[in-house]
Amino acid sequence: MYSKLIINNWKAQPGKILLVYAALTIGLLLITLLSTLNHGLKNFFFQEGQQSKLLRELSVKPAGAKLDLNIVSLLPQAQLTPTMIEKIKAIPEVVEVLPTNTINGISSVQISLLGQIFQTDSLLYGAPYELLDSPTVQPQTWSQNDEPYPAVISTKLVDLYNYSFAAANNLPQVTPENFLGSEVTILLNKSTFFDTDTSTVKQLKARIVGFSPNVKLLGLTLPLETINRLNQNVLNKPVQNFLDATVRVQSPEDLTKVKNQLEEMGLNVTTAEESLKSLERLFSLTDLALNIFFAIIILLTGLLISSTFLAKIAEKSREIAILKTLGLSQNRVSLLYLLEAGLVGLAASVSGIILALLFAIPLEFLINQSLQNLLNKPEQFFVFQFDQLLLLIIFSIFISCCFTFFPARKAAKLDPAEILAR
Amino acid sequence: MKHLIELSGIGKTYHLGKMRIPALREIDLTIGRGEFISIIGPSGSGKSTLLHLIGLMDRPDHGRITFEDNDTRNFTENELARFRSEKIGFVFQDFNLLEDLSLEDNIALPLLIKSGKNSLSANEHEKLKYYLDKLDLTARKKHKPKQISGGQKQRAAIARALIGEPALLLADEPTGNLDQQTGHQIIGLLENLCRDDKITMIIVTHDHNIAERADRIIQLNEGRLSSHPYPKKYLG
Repeated sequence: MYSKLIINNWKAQPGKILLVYAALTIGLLLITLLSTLNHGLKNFFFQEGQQSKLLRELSVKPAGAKLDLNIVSLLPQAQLTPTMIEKIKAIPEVVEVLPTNTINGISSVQISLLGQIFQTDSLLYGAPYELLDSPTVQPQTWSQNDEPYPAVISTKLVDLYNYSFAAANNLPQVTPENFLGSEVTILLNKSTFFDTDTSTVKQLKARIVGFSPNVKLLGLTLPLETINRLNQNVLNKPVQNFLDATVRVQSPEDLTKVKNQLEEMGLNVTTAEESLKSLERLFSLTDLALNIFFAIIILLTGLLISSTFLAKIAEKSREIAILKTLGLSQNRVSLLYLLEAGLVGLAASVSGIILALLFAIPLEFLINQSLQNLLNKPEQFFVFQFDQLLLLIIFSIFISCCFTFFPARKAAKLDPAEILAR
Repeated sequence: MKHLIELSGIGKTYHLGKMRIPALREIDLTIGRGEFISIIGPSGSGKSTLLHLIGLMDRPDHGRITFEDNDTRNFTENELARFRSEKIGFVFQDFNLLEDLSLEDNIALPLLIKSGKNSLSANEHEKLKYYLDKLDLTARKKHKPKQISGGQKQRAAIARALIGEPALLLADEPTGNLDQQTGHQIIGLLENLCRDDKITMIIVTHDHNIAERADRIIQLNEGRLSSHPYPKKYLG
């Protein structure tokens, strides 16, 4: 019965119904695109952060060490002593301790990129290979002892250069390939920005062998042993202590226990979980903004649905009166219009999602094209999930029915005697 | 069960702004099973209002309507609707067919409404076929109402009213939009069908020739029964 009556009803106010369908489709298209983009970004940031390895890691700094980059005093005053490192290793749940150190003096670097020579002061860090954890750095290249020394840079530094410095100064963008294999001249005891004693300057050669997300953002990172050797043999300023350390534990459950023990040792400890919390706070803001936007779309389309169904019911009032006279109950009259609205919601949501899927393909391509040099980016910006799409369809049907509830009740309450007497 | 319908002390007043318009006053009436009753009276005398009340399309302001011994005052709107679908058939002056449905879909509507299903059962299909044949509409069953004549529309309306096998058929000036010859054919058809199936028929009409065919004529004047219900032989 309902199918024939719904088809019959569709013929009332077809233009307005088409408008409702189009508005809902566009609304659902926008909601789908924005929510899948938001989902893609969340996936990227949280999956990166939630890798099991990161959830088994703690970053340890000595108390009082607040800055990684301390050009003026060259080295943070507080450092991790070898004794402390041994103590950390002695904790039963600790699997691995990966300390980093830094060169004990000022240094500047020169690098030739895209036909231009860049020179700047730079810190030189030392890190064990296990910390790099990057497929772009091969273990055999990292184990070289002689010049040119192997060096890695942070993947984030390339992005920072391309999307802030190069963009602001109208400089060409660089790709990881531009860096790989490039020779870097390191000038120890020399600054680009202020005068230094030229008699003590030592020149070294390094070569970029890869990228890692785990090394310090600003500066070059060389093998730990190389930095130790340079401090001792070239600068004659041996350093026993370490700048900081990454501590890996057996399982994520051990994290809190080990963190407490390290804090009892007077160390500053941060975990990936804490970084994730700040990221979550950021995403809760984007979620809020999106939800407000969605609410506006829903309210506008909802009002359109209500006004359209009121117009339909006004046009079909005589037919409603006939059906009521023939015995169609109030509940079924309501149901008739709610079903119709639900079908419009279903059709619009399916169309909106299909359009979003179609739009996502060129948009994905365009975004990837414009960010082709960005190293830290999601593999997929628009992430469609079946359960999320299903939820959108259900939501669309629900919203359509909600905003049709009042017109449907109005139709149900029509007085057939009064209408048929007209 | 002595009577099919019993009205006692029925009154109905319409309100037009602050103005009160009494449509029916203190109506007492009993209608037997299988009776053919005509309601006559001048315009505004309350004929249609009485028909709507008997058809449970409207509720009286006061008084009681009993249908097959059921006091309808206690019925909810949905119960009234169910009662209408099971017991009452309607034929209107304007035919009141759904313009976008075919004739057979229009005729089948009461069956679908009663069953709440999306399609007819085999038995219901047989019934539809029977009424299409009986009312000579088989050739026109796929036509839309606007594609057929007034007489055919009214025949379709009659088929729609009877297909649910009602106990009561209400016809509000069923010949009002038809020429005299077609009108008389339609009334003859209605009368025969109702008498064959022992369906109580109440017809509102201005036409005394039609009214005279009834077993009983009820005359309304300013919302009152102008005299006691009397058989047609005493009319005029």
